[in-house]
Amino acid sequence: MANRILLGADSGGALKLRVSKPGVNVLTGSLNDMLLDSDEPMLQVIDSGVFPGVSGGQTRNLSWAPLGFAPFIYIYAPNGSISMNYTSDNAAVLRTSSSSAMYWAIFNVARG
Amino acid sequence: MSNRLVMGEISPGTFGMRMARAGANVLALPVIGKDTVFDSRWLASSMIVVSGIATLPNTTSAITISYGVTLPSVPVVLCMGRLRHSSIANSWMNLDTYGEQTDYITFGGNQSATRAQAQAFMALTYDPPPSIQKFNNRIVFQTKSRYQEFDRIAYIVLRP
Repeated sequence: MANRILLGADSGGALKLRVSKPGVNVLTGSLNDMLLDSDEPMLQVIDSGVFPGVSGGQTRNLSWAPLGFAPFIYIYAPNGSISMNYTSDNAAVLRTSSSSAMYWAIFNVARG
Repeated sequence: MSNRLVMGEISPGTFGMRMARAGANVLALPVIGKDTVFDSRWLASSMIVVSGIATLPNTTSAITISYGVTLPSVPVVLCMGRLRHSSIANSWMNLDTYGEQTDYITFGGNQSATRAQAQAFMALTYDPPPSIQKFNNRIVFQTKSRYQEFDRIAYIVLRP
């Protein structure tokens, strides 16, 4: 059985938490072999949701707690198309071209 | 207070680490689920290799973004683009790239879209050349095709 979790000093003496992928030795694996490394950023969903049954051309307002940056937001509409415009760093307006639900997910990454 | 973290034997004969969201009992959670923050039995996670934003010229050209590392395989890249000519300020759409060369786009055909955007959408629908080429060390945006509609592309590259 492979060593999967390192909590403490690695071979270079750096203190960290690492978890390797199944079957990989956490003590010898590369970064590509890791599921978790306390030195590496992870994609995190800050919030997500859905606006159900929005008529075509209508909008819905989305807001979230200020993060200090405008976040990357995933938007999806099963029917038609969807777009979004940021009105501030913690608010946006979603639009759909045809009657559809509008799904959204806010990530912990700055949109730039 | 609920049990949030298990480090050790997480199932009979299996050792690893599991973590639950606040308020959830890690001992009662499935391997994958909305309340499972982490489980070492996962085969992959979502470590970010690089993220940023690229400014696209309004000309026929290509923009190459290097990851700074060479990955073992072509990664998942999440992209969103800002419309260059939208009448709505700061209007964005998502461009998802799951294949080696993406061929689909969620186009914001809102009512305020310009004729040029509508024509571009039609062109994209019927003649979709690969516009994002993903490699294991870089992504290339071809601005001469569908992405001429965008002046900025925000991207997140996930480690395979």
